[in-house]
Amino acid sequence: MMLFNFFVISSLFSFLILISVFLYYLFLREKKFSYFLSRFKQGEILRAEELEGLLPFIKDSFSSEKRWFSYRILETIGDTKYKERAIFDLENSENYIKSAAINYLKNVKKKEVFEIILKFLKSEDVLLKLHSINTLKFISMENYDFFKRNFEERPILFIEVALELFPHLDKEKRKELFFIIKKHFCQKEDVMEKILPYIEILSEEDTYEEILYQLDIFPPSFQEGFINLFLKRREIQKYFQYFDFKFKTVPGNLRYIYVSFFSQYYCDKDFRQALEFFLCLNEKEKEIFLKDYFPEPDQFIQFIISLKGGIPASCLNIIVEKLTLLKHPKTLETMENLLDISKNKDSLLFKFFNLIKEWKEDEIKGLILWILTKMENPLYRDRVNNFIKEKKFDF
Amino acid sequence: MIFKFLSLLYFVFFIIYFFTFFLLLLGAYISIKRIRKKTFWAREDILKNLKFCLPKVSLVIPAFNEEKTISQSLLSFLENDYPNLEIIIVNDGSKDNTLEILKKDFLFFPSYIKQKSFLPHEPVIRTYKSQRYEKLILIDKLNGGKADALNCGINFATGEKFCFVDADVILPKESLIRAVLPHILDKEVVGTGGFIRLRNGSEVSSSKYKIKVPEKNIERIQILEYLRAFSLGRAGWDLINGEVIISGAYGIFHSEIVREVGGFQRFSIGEDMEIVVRIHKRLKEQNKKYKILIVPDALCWTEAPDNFEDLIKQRKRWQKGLLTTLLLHRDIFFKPKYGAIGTFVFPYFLFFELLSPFIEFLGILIILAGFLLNFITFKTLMAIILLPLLIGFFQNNLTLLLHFILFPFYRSFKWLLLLIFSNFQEMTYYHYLLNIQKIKSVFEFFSQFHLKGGWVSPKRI
Repeated sequence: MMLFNFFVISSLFSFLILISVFLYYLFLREKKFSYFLSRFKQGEILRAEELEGLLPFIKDSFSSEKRWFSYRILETIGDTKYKERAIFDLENSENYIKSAAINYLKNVKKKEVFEIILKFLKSEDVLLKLHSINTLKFISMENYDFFKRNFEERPILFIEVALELFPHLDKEKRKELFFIIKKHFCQKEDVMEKILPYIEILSEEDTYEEILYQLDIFPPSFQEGFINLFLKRREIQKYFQYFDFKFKTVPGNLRYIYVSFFSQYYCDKDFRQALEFFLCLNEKEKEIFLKDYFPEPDQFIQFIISLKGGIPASCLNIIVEKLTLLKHPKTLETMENLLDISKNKDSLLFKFFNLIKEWKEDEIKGLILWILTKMENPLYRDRVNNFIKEKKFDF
Repeated sequence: MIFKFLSLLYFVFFIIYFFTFFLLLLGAYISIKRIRKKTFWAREDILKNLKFCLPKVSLVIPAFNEEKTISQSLLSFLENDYPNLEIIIVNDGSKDNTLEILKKDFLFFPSYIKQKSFLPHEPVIRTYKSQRYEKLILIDKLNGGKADALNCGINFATGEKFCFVDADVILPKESLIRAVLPHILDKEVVGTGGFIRLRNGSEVSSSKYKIKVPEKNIERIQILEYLRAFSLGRAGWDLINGEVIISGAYGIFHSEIVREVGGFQRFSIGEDMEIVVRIHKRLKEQNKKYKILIVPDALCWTEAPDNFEDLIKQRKRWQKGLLTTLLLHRDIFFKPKYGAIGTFVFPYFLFFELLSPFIEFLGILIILAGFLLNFITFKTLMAIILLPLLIGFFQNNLTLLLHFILFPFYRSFKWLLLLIFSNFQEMTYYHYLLNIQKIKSVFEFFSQFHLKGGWVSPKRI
């Protein structure tokens, strides 16, 4: 009996010791992980030998959070030792562990990893997909030719990676990628619009011309954006014939795309030439022309005065804005002309008033008096009178 | 008998109020945990590198007489990590040098910008583009109020998401990514609001912050109020999709939905609450599945009034805004077809936000009268008068506790004591002073009965 008691007590005792040791082990593990985590959160770089300590946590199937953080720490410090484990986790874990593994594999930068991760591009989980795009982008930066081949083969699958990659490539590679994207997606407005700001770097004459001469194949928004870029940095005079030809031959609803060129072209010419061109345009095109037409102030004033009745109502505000920017001595005379053709004189005068409000006192006194003689709407008149009182103008 | 009945009614009102608030805090805890569980692995450091995968956000900042803070605020917005962002500042006819400062500091030059929609607003004087920052646009327009400026901003916005922020708030770098995340992860999310926090007394910039409890009582008390009523209290409604207030200081919506409902109500005072209710109504009527949420970790640091005069103006404005919205959308009340909004949220706002100052005031009067007329004993009188006080005190402490569990701010024994002391101050006088102002604002509202309200911006030092 005594022996039995001894056996039971010693078993219980051993069991308690085992439990305590196990709990102590768990406590130490927890402490170790907290130690890594706090150092990581403080932005400290962990030493290579310390990384070994993180392996148990990556394998820890009890705490997914620990596994996730471990991958994150290892990723941050550029580790690649646990590649096999990460690849294993891509198949056998919850989505957020998969995503941690995907992010970690970014450090490996190998083609084989590319092949493994690409299946997540189709994932329905948005975060998993986004993290895959990011990792594939990094791998593709190191293995551009490999990516290029893949992209050529499966353009739809890789277009998002290609777009993210595009701004990070050097000029030559960017040019190459642009033409691949163009080949497969030239009609896709959303795709072409995204790369538009980044093609400015392809500034060699031939590339720009090549795109310009193929412009018809792109969606209108891309064409418009490209022409704006083109006009920014070109010696535009030599392209007159091309633009003139395009302007006369493209369908009527697309003519507006080419109008900006003529606005800039006629800036250096006599206003009568600009006038002749302007009068042939429709209302939308006239608006675009006026927005980009910046000749010498005298030329602009002459241009406006000569227009007489040829100004659509929608263009009046643009002209008034430009007039107030010029501060030309003939501003008043020009405004008189505009008022003659305006259907809503008070609104135009009020716009004019608001635009000149910040001018110096001696510059606006005469104009304000003129506005008051022309303005009929009592609400607007009140606002002008209040302004006079506020500024204490002495007439 | 009637006095006893009224006292009992008063008692029951506070018990229901406390119980509802307790449920709201519980709801806040669950919804915050839920949203964190969904997004903790999103990794802002990765998302900020994905320029084309995230939806374009148009950040619209209405500015009226903000010459002292506008440049600093705008710089903090420009530092934001969000990769696909356009920033539109709408100068709403400022009478100070806001426009000149903007032009000088950010090299704005006149430029023509296409309008995407035509929501009504006061006329635009001129549009500008920054020569220094490609994503920056300035629109100078005639004064028309905040809602009017926001409508103007959305007309020029090209982003898929429309984000509005006050010109004097500071957004941490990662805040916008966090606020947009629920939209990316769940297609049903049509609107999200940031978690508004006070920066009074703290050192806050877009990249770092050193949080302190402010020294002034009035600011400290507002910290408690913000936590209780404007942050955790609101997050609680998310659980039943009953969020009706996305603060005007920081919120994000689908641009198209804002356009579809006709933009902000131009002459409404509480335009932020009003538009959310209109969105709820529209989507419910269309039988669409949708969600509007508060994002706990999308922080937004704002400055609370540091003097009583500004505070009263602000609170009167809020009270009038609440009243305007409840009146404009009174058809929602108790209509099950509007879901939680009609059956729970609107009645809650009516009884516990709008009418509670009246109920409290009348309750105290009746009980006092009952005591003076010997219908009520002194013990009952004290019990009933102290009841709201104790409930409020307990509520605030419960909010503080939940806040300590969920957020890493104000975690110091000294600050905790200061906040508990402010809690006591709130319950003893601040609460009653504000209640009087709230009552006054309701009378003012009905005596003037106009819906046109101006901006109220606390004075800056």
